[in-house]
Amino acid sequence: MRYACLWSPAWSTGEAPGDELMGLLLEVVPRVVVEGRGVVWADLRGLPGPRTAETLLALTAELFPDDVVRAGLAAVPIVAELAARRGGVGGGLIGGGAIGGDGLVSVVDPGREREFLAPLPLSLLASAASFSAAWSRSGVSAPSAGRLSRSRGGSGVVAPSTSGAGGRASRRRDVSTVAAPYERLLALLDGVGLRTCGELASLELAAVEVRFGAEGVRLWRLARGEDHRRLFLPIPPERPHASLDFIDYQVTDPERLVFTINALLENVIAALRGRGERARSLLLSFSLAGGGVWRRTLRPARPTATREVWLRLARRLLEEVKLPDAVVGVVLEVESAEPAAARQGDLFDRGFATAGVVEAALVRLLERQGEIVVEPRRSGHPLPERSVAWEAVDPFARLSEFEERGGRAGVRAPGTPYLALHLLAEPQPIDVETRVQESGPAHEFPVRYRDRSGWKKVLAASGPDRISGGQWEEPYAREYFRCVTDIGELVWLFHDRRRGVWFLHGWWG
Amino acid sequence: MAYVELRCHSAFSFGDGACTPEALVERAAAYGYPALGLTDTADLGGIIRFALAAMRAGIRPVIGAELVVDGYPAAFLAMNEEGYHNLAALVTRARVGSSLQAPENGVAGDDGRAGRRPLAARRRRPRRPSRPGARPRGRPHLTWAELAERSAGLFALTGPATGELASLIRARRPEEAAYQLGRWQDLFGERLAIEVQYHHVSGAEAALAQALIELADWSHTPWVVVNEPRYLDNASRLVHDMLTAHRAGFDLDRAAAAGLLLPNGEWRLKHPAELERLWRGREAGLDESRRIALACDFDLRWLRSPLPRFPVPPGHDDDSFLRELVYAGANERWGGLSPRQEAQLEHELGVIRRLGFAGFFLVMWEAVRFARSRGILCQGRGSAANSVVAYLLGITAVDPVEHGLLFERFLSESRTDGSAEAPDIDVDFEMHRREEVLDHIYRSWGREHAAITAVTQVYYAPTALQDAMRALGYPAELAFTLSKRLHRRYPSEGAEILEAELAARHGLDLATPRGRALLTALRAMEDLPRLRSTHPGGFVISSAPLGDYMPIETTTLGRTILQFDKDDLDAAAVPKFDFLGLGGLTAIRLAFDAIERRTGKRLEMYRLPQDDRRTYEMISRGDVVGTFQIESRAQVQSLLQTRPERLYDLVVQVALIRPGPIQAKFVRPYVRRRRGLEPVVYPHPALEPILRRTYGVPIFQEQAMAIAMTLGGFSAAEADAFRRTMGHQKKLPLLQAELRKLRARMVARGVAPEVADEIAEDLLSFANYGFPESHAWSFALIAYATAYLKAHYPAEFFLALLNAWPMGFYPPSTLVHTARRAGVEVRPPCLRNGDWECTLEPRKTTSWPRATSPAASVGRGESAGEGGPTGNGCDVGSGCPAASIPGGADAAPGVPPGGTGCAPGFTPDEGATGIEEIPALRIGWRFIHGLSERARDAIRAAREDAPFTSVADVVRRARLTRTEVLQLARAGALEAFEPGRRRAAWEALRSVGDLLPLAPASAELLPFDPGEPTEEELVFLDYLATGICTTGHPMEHLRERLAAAGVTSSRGLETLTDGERCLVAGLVVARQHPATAKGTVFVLLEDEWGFINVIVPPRLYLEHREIVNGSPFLLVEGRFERDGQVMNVVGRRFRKLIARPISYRSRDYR
Repeated sequence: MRYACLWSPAWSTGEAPGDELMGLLLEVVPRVVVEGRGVVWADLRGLPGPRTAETLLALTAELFPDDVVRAGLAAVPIVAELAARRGGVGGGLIGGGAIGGDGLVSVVDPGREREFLAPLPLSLLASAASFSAAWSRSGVSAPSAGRLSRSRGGSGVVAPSTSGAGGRASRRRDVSTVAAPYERLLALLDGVGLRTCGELASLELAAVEVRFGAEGVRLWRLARGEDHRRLFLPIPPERPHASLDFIDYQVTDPERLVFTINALLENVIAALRGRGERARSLLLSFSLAGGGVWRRTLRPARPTATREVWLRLARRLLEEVKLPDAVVGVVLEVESAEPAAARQGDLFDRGFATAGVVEAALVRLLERQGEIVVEPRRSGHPLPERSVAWEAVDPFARLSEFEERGGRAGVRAPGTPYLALHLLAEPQPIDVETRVQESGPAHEFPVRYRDRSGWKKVLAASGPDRISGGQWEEPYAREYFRCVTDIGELVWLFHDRRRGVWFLHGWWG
Repeated sequence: MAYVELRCHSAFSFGDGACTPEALVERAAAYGYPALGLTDTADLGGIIRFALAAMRAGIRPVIGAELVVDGYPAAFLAMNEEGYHNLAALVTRARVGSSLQAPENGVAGDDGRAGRRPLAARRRRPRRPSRPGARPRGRPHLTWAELAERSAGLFALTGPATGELASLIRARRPEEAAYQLGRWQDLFGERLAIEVQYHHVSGAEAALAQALIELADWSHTPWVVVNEPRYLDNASRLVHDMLTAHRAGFDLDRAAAAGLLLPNGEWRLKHPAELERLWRGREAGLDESRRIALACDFDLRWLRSPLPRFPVPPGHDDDSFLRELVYAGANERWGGLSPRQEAQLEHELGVIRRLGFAGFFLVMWEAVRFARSRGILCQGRGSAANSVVAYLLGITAVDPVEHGLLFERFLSESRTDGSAEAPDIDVDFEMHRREEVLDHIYRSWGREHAAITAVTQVYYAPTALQDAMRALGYPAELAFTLSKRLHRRYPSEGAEILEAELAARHGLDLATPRGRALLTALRAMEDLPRLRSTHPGGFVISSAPLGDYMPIETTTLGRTILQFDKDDLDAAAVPKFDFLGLGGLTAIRLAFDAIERRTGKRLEMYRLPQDDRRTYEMISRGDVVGTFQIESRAQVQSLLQTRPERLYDLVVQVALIRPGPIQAKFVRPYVRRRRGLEPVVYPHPALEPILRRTYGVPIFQEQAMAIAMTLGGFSAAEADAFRRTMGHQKKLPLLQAELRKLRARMVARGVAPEVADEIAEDLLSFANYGFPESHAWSFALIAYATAYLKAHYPAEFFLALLNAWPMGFYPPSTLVHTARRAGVEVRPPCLRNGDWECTLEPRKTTSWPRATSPAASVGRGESAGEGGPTGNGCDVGSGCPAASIPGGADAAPGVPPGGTGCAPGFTPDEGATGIEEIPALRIGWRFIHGLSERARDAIRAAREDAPFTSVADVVRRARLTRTEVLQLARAGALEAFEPGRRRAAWEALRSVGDLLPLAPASAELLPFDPGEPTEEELVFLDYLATGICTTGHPMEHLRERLAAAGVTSSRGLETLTDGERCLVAGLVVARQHPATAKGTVFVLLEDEWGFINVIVPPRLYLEHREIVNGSPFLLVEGRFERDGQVMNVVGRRFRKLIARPISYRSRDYR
């Protein structure tokens, strides 16, 4: 449960709750919002729902002994409110929640909101929805006109009412004003036979949008339990900080300040690490003896939770600046932080590549890769280095094929002579001497070449096999020769026609 | 030099060739080839261009084709005439199978559907061979038996690496290869060579070449080196790669990765020396190529199929029967022959007899006779109208003797020398019924003897850009956006524009390799054939099987067409029969039908009074929207200047507003002389009889011929040859030579040299006219007929236009606005009183309503009261027409600043007895968007059973879909049953059983008022639903706001003075960017009163192009210009006029 909604029929017309009730409820829940129309919201996150609601009702009864107050508990605001408004009337409650106290607590379990809403009349939905609409139109989320909001331990009203929070008359006016938008729509819906939330929710969005416009869509969403209002803003986590006040003396020596900062940093860094974070920036504040505060922000090159880095920054700062006055207090506060990333390991780092780390890395890879099996496949691209692509195959299908062949690999008959072309990772530039043959095609053929190991004589060369293309990307033009060297190597050379350079591209073996 | 390339592929291999035949020849000539072979894949479409170019370049053309025989490609070269006919027959067989000989296509037993399936059937049936024996398109192939049947006179090359022999060798089955080679030897004997190719692909290729040579040596068969080029250089190779990628549906990257592209650039036309270096030591293969080339011959005359033999009555031959028919026609048309007429007739009959073209005339006569027997309007056009024989046979409508038209412009004995054009008889038939005539031709002659000519579509900048960008992987949206800005540009022009400014403006970086490749490809796609399409109606008919002369293939729509382009056939002097479709004739016939239904009087096109004052007054006012040929913006401007008073003025008018006269700057002198603003002078007294009718300005081709004959002493045939050098920039050197000859002749005959120079100069300027007087006469007759109908029967005229639409210059909405301004009450579609086509209904009112403004006269709100007539002109429940009349007489006086609209006091109907005699025009359902033909048939059938009584009744009995019934309601077609479009829509939804909450659950009235559209909403709703607004003009509803801002309406332009600054606004009807205007753009705005011409200077167009092109409503600040009745606004600033979104498509740059 995220929300508890307290509602009383008397509050919409009579005296509505105010600060006094909020103060009471904040004893139980961290945050409370009181709307001018007589609806009270309590933040139930992390609290036992029904029991807390009973407590809230009991507290409310102390202030409003004559009013019947009901509570609705749900993960969706509109559902919570309708549960409170509807109470136990007209059917059983949804979900495993029980009716607490004297049957005034209604609970709708998460995931069963539509089931709960379905039999409810659209008029009931519209009466609650009108406020939702007003919020949406106002462009703000929780704090809005006619609402009081307060957190436990807060300094007072977070979002004071702009329409006279305390005036009863103004609250009534609020209700009548915001209820109006749905009057015509309700008449239309009624005219076409739509009376319950379930009937409206079952329609298609497009149909509703075309015929009933934006108001219709808004009501349709609410009828489906889609209410994304943020009644309570998220509580910002407290930022790590540390401070020290020099009560008996003043500090003017930078070294002493650095010493103090180092001590404070220890606490801040510990807090950061405890939260699994590293800081992007720290705010360093000095309270000055003559009054006022001198502030500077420290920012490292990258977020870190290393004390040495921060201390170095602080020292450098203090070396560069001249403080306007003696210091009587130091505060160090994390301005912004981010989650600390996992350590980037290198499997070839002997210090890192322990068996456990490797195993964990492999497991992680397998988890990411799933069941994918790939195999090389010749794509047909003229460039040799691009002619092989890795293609995913279905291992189960491949297994079936294998089984159909009776468990034989069926790739190559045993004993077939087989030379495989091995390509260098990068073609290696070489020097080549060429000569035109005396007979046959009038091409220049390589007769010897020099690689890292020196000159090699070419006994025979066949080719050229020409490839060219890629004008739209990276043009290439090569002439390949298959050469047999005097030491029996079968190598593959090519002449880059665009650059006029020869390369050794691979060998057969 | 020994080598001859025998196996070139041009772009006529469609998808496997990236250069034109002419480019191949040009490159071959540069390399010094003595001969060159063309073997496109199952296609001979390029051979005429190839042969002509080769003959010009002094290269021997070797004609052949690559054909797939039993699954393997091989090439066949024509050695002689028999070989060529067999080659054509094999290509035909590969393309269409044996279906041409199928019984259904013969004269006997044909059901009349042989030419093309009916339109409705075509839309429903899947694209697959529709006739027995037909081959699937895109995979032409032959069997060995078919090849054996027609192998005589052919030289066979065994094919590339995928050929039969090479495939067997690659599959390590040499014995089988040797066996198959024996089969080839048995069939072709000495006419066979083993084809050997080497492209430096791999060792395997070299090994294959070696194996083939060894096989050849072993079997004592010659082997020949071929390179099979498909491109010329790197640029055209890039285009070839693109075409290859497109064929696979890939972009270049993917095609390269898939290994689809040729691996290197060796498939180009190489210099012979390069081949000689490669095959050094193996020169036998090179020598063999030359020997084969010398053994092959080709002559364009082999393409000419024998003319059809007309089945003449016993005792007649073609000539005698033609003579009999012509003299019978003379009696009918002339009543008797004057000596002049008889002399001309005998002259023509003599020429026709000597040239053997009598059958040609008889075929056309029979087609025209068939059309007339079916009530199909038809009329000859073009140079055929110069022939008395054609006139007396009823093919043409203009008397050449009376109008002094020159027969030699049509046919002369010098024109059949084998290199000149053959005579064409072009006949226009009603557009919508032309199919009947085509079917008749197929039925009469059979598919084996008759086929339609092709049109070779070449790349233009938009298509080239889109294809290139698609291949290069650019976003399609960007390609589309850019291509829209390159209309009517050639690819190379497109590249220049792209480079100059367009690319930068749209963020396209041309400095990248991809950008550079795009520019390279665009330039290389200049003149490149892209696809082959069907000519609108050019038939070739032969007494012999046509496929033996010109290959035939099938289209996706099931037609059989020739592989040759019509222009190429002209160059090969192949006679053609042009059965063209003309929307104007359809409109005239529909109007005649409607008039006959209303009045009982049947008009005939050639019996309309040709001196009707009202018609000429209307034309002179520029009130010509909807008329044939003279309705465009430029024509209107010209009409206001020339103010035609007789039919010949229209003849001139049709010919005058053409690119040629405009470019030659002859329009202005003609207009000024006609208006008496400058004297009519003739360079030589002898020219006066020739040029008197056109005020001394040469306008027609016949005049040029007459000048040559009169002053230069040219014979008629020489004059015709001179005429044929005109019309194309590419013929300029020929023309200049002819003009030099003419000048010399004139001087020799005593014409002063300076006068001869002046005449020659005039004729040089005149060269681009390309318009014969006879053609202008034919069109002028139709133009006059449409104008007459508009002047006297406006309701029937606009009814016919709308039912014949699409045709003409203006969209239906403009036609309807014009009709309303002409006093025609236009009613929206109605399911009770209307029909699929537009219909006429009697009017109810008896007096002309006095409307103070169009908005006031629209009167939907005024008339649609309780129990009164509804907005669609129907009384609810009664079905009677109502009295909502738009426009009105008050609208007329100020209507046309550009001259369109009605004059004060003008009463449209013939009897001038009042507007009440003009019937109301009911818009047909065909204009309702989203209404299918199925729905049409269902509605008609249900209504024939019993009249509809309600919306629910319509839905129930016509079984309409939800979308269809909603569209009907939106268009107002259901208002006869349910007043109010929204209410009708709700009721329709309820009736169609739509789910809640789409409609009320009960049949009672809605529990709330849905609210009806306002008048303004209704106008825009009409545009959305039908594209036609019967209730007003969108500008009416902006007028108050515009008037407050000082915007002048089209009516208000009358009050402006020349040079005054003004603001105008309107709905953009058309944007034009004529090639003759040097970048100036003309925008035609329409408002509730008429039209406004806006001129956008070139510099401003570049600056405001997005606004000018992208705004449906345009606000223009500019300078008002007036020249007589011609009024223009020269724009200076342009703004988009903000209005409701409108569903409307203007006529842009067409």
